[in-house]
Amino acid sequence: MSSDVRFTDFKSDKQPTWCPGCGDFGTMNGMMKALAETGNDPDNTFVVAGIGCSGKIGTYMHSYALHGVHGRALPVGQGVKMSRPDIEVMVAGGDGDGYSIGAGHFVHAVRRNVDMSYVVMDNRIYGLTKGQASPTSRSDFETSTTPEGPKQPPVNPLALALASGASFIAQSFASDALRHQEIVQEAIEHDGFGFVNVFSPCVTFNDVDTYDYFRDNLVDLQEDEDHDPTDYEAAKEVILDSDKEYQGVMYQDDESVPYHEQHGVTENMSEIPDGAPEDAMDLVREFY
Amino acid sequence: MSDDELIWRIAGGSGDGIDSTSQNFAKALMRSGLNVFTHRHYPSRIRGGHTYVEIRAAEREVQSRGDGYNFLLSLGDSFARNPQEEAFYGNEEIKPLSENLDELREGGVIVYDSGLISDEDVADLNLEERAEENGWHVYPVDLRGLAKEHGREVMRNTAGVGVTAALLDLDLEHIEDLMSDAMGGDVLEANLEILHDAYEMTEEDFEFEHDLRAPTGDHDTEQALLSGSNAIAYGAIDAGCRFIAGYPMTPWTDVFTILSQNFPDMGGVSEQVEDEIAAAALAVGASHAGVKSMSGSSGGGFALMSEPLGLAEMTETPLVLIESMRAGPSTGLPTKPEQSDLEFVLYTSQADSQRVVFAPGNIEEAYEQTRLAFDIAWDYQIPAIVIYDQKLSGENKNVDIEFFDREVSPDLGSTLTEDELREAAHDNSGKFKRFNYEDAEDGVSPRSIPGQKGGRYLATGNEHSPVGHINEDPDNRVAQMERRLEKLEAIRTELDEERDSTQTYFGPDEADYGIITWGSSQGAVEEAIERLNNDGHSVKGISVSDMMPFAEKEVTEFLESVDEAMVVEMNATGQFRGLIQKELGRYGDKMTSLLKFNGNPFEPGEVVEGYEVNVAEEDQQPDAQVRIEPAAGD
Repeated sequence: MSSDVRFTDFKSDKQPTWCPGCGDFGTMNGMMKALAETGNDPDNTFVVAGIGCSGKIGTYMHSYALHGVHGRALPVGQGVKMSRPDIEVMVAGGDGDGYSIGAGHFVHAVRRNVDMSYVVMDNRIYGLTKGQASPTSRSDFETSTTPEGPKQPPVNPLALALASGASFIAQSFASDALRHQEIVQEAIEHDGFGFVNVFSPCVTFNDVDTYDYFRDNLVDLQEDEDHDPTDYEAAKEVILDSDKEYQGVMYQDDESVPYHEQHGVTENMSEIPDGAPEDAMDLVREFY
Repeated sequence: MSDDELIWRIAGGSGDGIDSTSQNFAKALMRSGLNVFTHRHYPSRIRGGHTYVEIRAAEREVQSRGDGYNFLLSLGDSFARNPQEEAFYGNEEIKPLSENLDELREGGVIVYDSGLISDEDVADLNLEERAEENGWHVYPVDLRGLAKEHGREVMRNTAGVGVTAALLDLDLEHIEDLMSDAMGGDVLEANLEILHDAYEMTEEDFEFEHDLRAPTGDHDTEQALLSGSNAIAYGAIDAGCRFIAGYPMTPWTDVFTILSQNFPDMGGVSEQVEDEIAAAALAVGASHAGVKSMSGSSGGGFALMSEPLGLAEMTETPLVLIESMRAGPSTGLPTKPEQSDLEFVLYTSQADSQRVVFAPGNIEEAYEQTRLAFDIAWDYQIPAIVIYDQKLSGENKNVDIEFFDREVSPDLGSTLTEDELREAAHDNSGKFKRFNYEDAEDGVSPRSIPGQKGGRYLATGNEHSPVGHINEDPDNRVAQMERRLEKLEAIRTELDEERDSTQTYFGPDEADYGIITWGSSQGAVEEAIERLNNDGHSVKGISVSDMMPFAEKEVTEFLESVDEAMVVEMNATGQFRGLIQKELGRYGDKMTSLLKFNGNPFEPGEVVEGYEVNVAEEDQQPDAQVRIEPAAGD
């Protein structure tokens, strides 16, 4: 990896169309800085995003990128990494993309433990469609399609990940720039599926889960000297604690073995291992 | 209906070992020098239920299951004896005998397991009376007892094969060889004892009254017994595909299984994922990463792929998807064939289709067209679909091994090297013009793959500018849309002018009447046309594979060359006839449909009968379960 990569090398010439003050600016900056800081080259990086405000990120970053369909960013990203372990893959998504329409993929991506990072810009609202409830919206959060609130509890994405056998679970806050970048860096460096849920406030449609709310309620696990991320039980406790909003790495399996190591996937698939059948001619003879 | 062929039907319960027994018996017949063709009929159940396999063997080439059959080995259903199951399903023990009698030819042979099927049950069937009427020869043998004597009860299928061989005067050599390949130790020894005992006992106990004997033949070259699923999987392997993601669904599971067993050894990846949306989306990702990739399913799962398929069209991602049809709608008849997903596969996903669809009609075509799909997909950066069905998936045929002696093609088509990328067009900010509509030959704008210097671009499902950014400018929109569609015209030209035709023709060059078919109905049509011409009719046939872009020139020429035509397909609404009319804009008054949708494929005789009724212009239907849909205006 070239050491002279700067985070601006990941930046495209397109100016984001996010609303001024949107949490996604900070989230994306942290992602670019984390990629550069971990020595990744934009020519060797593949960013995948789905649909929604978060989906635009591939336009504002300048790497290899795919802006796909709603909820399907994780499967595309896994396909890239599972066939090319030498490529750095980062998937960006929103709370709707990841925990609603793509929730099924999330569970199985976590299980598969492909060596990539997944950064979810969680604003607890559907922004691009102009303010409807998301799976992480509070049960009494009134929106145009839920006039009296969704009347159902929000998804706890961290618990969902834990229950699915995650090897890395973290949460960060977009406006705490340095900590956010550090946490994403840890997700990138993790040997396996590095999942970060980012509080990324929507300044236009969400007047409840605001910057002020998170500033007032955020507890950084870094300040808790007793918290050991490799301790599953401790992680469980923090993740299931619905009274507080935590920042930091909740859980990390230090014995995590990523997909390509478990399956012996090499960087060049066109090379057939010695002794293996090479073509159909080698295979049809057994049908005599 | 000639008896210079053997059509051996082995019937039993699911789980009675019908598949493995018939596979080995078919191989033994193939090794003895015969051409063989197998047909599989089974319920959507793990154990029990009436299932059978037919093996047709003759000295000449055989392309279909034939009409009816002439030898029944009825094992009875050993899984039907659980009293709870019987209460639920009724007496199924007898079904492998009772359910099979209608199609048995005159003079046919019946062997049944008298150790499992009781005399009372047989008496209830009036078997004796019916045998006399039809000239059948019935040989009750206690297969179960024979098996138990030397080994275990489950080996009664081996006893059945021994009895079959004796009655057909078939040498045991090849059967023994195949058994020795498949098993060893005590199991092999017991099976060999059962085989020999059954053979000798049959010769001693019975006076043979039947005329049927195993035909003889000779192969000049080494043969392999392969299914359509084998052919598709091997086509993918030889095309250099090394990545598959899938979700199990009958009958597609066969291809998925074969590749899952081979890719890991070959350095590739096979992954069973959470659903078919993910399956196709993973394949899209792998293709972007520069690895030849595929996915597939049957109709229900393919429906879920409509999102990633549309994404692949818009992002011009090379991709091969396989669609293995079964009877629908919805869950339909899960283990029965139908050709009713044609319109669905042509138009799955929103907006104007920008894809390639091939429909192979036999095992060799399945291999060749799967390879062709990969070649076209990677040359033109377009998704290519291979559509086939449960019939072609499960049927086995002997293929000359030399057929597979060809070069593999791992190259990535219109993908640039890093050196070429340096020369390629970039915008002022240094972005690669991945989707360049200026100077795009045949509509193809070459691509880069991650890791290459200077190749970075954004692929998006939105309409986009040459560097891949979201762009809603009308001029850009029209230019990009026209460029993508131009690829389909270029593909049609390549198929017509630079490659051997993927359409297959039957019968004489000149004929009054034409039969048009597609996909797996080909074999029955081929045989019907041969029979009709032998009987003095003037009939020729075409089996069409290029569904999109449509084989316009060849189908037009064919229709122009005949007075009238009949379109034969396994569905209820004549989807392919509709496609011909849509693509050619005429001939609606020239084409009659012969349709079948009862869950069983066409037999050649049904096509012959359909022709006869149609030409005689009699106002009737040929058969209770085959339909004629008249031409427009008739």
